[in-house]
Order: sequence, then C-alpha cells, then structure tokens
Amino acid sequence: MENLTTQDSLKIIQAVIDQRRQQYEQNGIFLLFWGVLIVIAGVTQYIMIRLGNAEQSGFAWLFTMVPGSIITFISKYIKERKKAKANKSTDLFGWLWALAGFLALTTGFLFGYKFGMGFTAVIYLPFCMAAMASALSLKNYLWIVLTILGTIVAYSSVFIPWVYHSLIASLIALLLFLIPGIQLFIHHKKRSHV
Amino acid sequence: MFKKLNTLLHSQLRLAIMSLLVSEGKADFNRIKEVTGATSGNISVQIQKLEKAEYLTVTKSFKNNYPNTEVELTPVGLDAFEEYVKALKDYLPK
Repeated sequence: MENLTTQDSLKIIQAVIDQRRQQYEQNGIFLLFWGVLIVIAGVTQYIMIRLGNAEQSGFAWLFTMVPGSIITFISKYIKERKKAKANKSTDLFGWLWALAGFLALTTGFLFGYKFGMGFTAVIYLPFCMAAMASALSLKNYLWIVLTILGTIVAYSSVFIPWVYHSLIASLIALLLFLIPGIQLFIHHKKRSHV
Repeated sequence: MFKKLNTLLHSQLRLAIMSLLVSEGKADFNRIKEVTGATSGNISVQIQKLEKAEYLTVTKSFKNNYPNTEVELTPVGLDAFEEYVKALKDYLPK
C-alpha cells in the first residue's frame, strides 16, 4: 500500500465531503426538474383550455409526466445500483418521492375522473407529505412553510372552478418543488465556492 | 492566526462517527459499533451530543423483531465537518 502524506489524506477527506454534498445538490436538481415540468404542463393546459382545446389539453400532462417519470425512475435505478455495489445505505426519501409520483400518475391517469373537483387535491396530497418529510429532515424552514402553503392551496382547489386547476397545479409545484429546488441549488453552489 | 477547532467534533469518537456518516450517509448502531470499536453506552452519549447540535438525526425502529437505531448525517453536520477539516488544514505546514 502506498504511503500517503497528510495533505493527500486531507484531499481524500475533501473528496468524500464533496461526494456527500453532491447528494444534496442532486436533490435540488430533482426538485428543479419536476418543478419546471409541472409548471410547464399546468400553464400549457390552461392556455390550451383558453384557446378552445379543452379535450386535448390533458395531453400536456401525458407528454410531460410520463417521460419525466421514466427519466426519474431510470436515474434512481442507476443510482441505487451504484449504491448497492458500494454497499451504501438506501435513500429512503428518494423512494418516498418515487412512491408519491407513482400514486399521482396512477390516480391521475387511471382514476382521475372519479374525484371530480377533488382531483388536484388528491394528486398533490402524497407530494405534500413527501415534501414535508424531506423539508423536516433537512430542517429547511422555508420549504416547511411553502409546503404548508402548498397543502392549503391543494385543499382550497376543491372550491375553485375546474378551469383554473391546471394553474393551481403549477402554483403548488412552484411552492413544493421549484422554489425549494432553487434555494437548495443556490445554497449548494454558494457552499461549494467558499 | 489559527482557526478555532470545533470542540464538538474534536473528540475521537464523535469525529469517528461523523467521518463514517460523511462517507456512508447513514449507519445503524451496530455498524458504528463495528467501525469505532467503542462501547454502546459511550456511542449513545456521543450520538446524543451530535443530535443535539443537529449534526445528525436518529431514527429508532424494529428490524427482525429487534430494536434498530439508525443515524443519519444532516446538511448542518456536513457543513460542520467540512469547516473542521478546513480549520485542521491551517494547522498543517503548507
């Protein structure tokens, strides 16, 4: 085994720290990815409804959520395989998000018509829980407050006309994913440039 | 002038626990015991101190009908560890 100098040892320690930090950055990127995707889908659907294409407007979700889910599941699968090889622990919160996504997809595309005005609330409830669990684990107070707001907006959607639900979905995505994602990402960038 | 070292991390066992968590993200009690070679009582006390400082979170559950304690690093803990390593670098000849 080669002899390491103290400086070499510190470099290795720093590399391990950077590797661990990268995991938090990925969380930020993952939130940004879904935040942008849902905001695009929601706004696109609203515009399509306003332009008189209400019947086809659902495709805005189909063409964003399905590819988004496939990308997320593949990247998650690759990440977990790498972790298993390195004998590392499983990211439980990652799977919690994946489960929330799966529930939203199956509820939305298979049983969506059954919930009527409660559709948006039902879709977002698992995401609100996953966001709250992640925010609490990171002790991210901004994210906690935004998640509470997001949950209130999700429940309020039951009393709001259906035509605005796609915009409400975008607003909740902004609160639950996009703003916390931007915050996590900026925070990470700042820390890595210290 | 030398930076002050974080007294919470400047203890052999606490530093060992934090190093393990920085490398593995999370670890259960037996894993910490195996790596550090310390007694359960000592590990418990040090984990409590680190938890109080919000450097890690502790989750207690059951695994195969036995109590299982899992410890996970927080971003605050990672920041503190990195600061500690940076401060330590200042003490070494360049």
